[in-house]
Amino acid sequence: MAAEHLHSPTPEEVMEFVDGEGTPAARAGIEAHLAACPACQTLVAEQRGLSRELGAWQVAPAPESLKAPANAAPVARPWWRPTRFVLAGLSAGTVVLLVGLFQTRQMSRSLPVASRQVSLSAQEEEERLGRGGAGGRPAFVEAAPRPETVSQPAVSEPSSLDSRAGFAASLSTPKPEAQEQTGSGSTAAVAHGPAVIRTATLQLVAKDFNSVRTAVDVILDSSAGFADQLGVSADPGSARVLRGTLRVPGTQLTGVLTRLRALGQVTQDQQNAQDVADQLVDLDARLRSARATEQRLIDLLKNRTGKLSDVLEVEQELTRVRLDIERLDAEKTNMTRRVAYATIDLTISEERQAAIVGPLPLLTQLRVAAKDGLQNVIDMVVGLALFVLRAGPTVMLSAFAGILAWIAIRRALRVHSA
Amino acid sequence: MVTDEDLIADVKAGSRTAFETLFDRYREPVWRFFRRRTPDAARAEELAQDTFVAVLDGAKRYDNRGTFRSYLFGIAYNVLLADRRKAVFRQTLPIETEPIDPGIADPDAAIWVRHALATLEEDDREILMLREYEQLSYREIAEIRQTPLNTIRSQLFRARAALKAALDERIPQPVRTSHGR
Repeated sequence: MAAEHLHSPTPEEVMEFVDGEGTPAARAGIEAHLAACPACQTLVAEQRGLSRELGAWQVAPAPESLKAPANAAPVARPWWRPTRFVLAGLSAGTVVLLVGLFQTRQMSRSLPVASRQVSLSAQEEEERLGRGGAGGRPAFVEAAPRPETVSQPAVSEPSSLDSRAGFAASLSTPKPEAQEQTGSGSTAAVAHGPAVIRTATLQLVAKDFNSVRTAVDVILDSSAGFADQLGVSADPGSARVLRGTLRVPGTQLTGVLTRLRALGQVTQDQQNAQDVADQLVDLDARLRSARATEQRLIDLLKNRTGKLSDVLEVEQELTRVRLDIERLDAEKTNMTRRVAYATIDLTISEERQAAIVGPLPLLTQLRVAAKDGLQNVIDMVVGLALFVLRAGPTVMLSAFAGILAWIAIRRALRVHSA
Repeated sequence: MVTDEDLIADVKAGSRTAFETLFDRYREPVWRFFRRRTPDAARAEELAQDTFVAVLDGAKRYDNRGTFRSYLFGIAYNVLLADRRKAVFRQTLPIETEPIDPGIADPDAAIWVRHALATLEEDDREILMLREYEQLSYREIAEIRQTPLNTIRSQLFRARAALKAALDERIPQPVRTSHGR
């Protein structure tokens, strides 16, 4: 149509005329033109013919049920109708929130395994308590009964025995109070009564876990005991657990257990006793025999009259006997120590974890759950705040750029369609 | 005869009678507006009802800047767009699958017209229908669609040319409408 109407009026102006649009002057001009222009007359006829054809699509009358509304109430209008920009902002905020929550969870999972293992060896523990003797030897060693062999001339014998001799020398200064606790020595204990090795297993759930460690230290100090091993494991976000092996004088065991039980709720309490008196008697007898043999061999060497090969054979036998003496002596020392100091396997859990692993009263479980829930909320808020501070500006900037691009595309499409 | 503008002014002042008069005048045009654009008759009735409710609700904010007719169809058009946005998540039927309303003079011609309209671009079809069926002026269409007047004129001319071509072919080609702008 456009090719046929390069003259004035244009086809669009003719269409305007047919639709009753345009200024009166323009309409008058087109009307005058139409009288002499068959092409424009055809165009007008086409336009009017189209309108007639479109009029063929009629619809049925409105249903009777369509009545005038009584009031404006039927339409439930929202109290707030956000604009597109507000919606876009809310969407961006939601994305930030979701990404933040996701990141927070990821960050908490990806943190280095901060399983904080505080483990103290017996020596470190002793140094911390300031009870180390010469050379940092544990108190139980000082308290152990003095072996009879320490006064033997063996301390000046061949170098193979020097280290052991040094150890024996260190045993020559028993601690008075330990001596008092254990009587006059293992021999006396063996001779006059049972020698009992005591062990105890104690598991607690503590409400105030922070003060538990200090309380354990105080108990150990006051009972002249020590920690053979003591550690606190604490994973972020979970409950802490203190595990340790405590050594306390056997006579103090009952009192120490009583005081430890007061630190929390007992979930396991078990004690064992093993009488080793016979074993100690046997060890003493074997030691005496070995030392007598040693003495006889020494006498033979002093009064040697035989061949060199015989001398060498006696020396070899002397060495073997001394090794036996050392082994038996160590075995006896160890057993004596175990008799003198009872062993306590201690486990103290923080109350929060205990709710999961052990039966606790309902009230305690509710309190634990509430505490955990509050902690989770705090962790989430802190994590979210950290994420917003770190990534928020970038995400918001990206969202803003996206909104601008969206608006630009919309406008471009609208112009294109026009 | 009382003009539409006088009636809406009375509605603004709280006249129920004036509103009912306006409703009687525009009940059928508004119904037809939605019926031609909505495959479901019940939905068309709901939308027509919503339109009059919106008129009643917004009467106090009517500023008398244009004709009431353009104001009314502007509301109807917005109601329609809102429904189409929601309909994105609903199944959309081809416009020509809806049976022709019984009782019309020439059902075949109506079917051809509907097929031809369905072949037009959405915006072109909407402008053409506003002009032909609602008898709105170019300026009123421009206000309703928030589009420059010259753009409306160009789109309308293009729509008519496309419609003429489609009608000349007389081959119905079902086209699925998206019911979106």
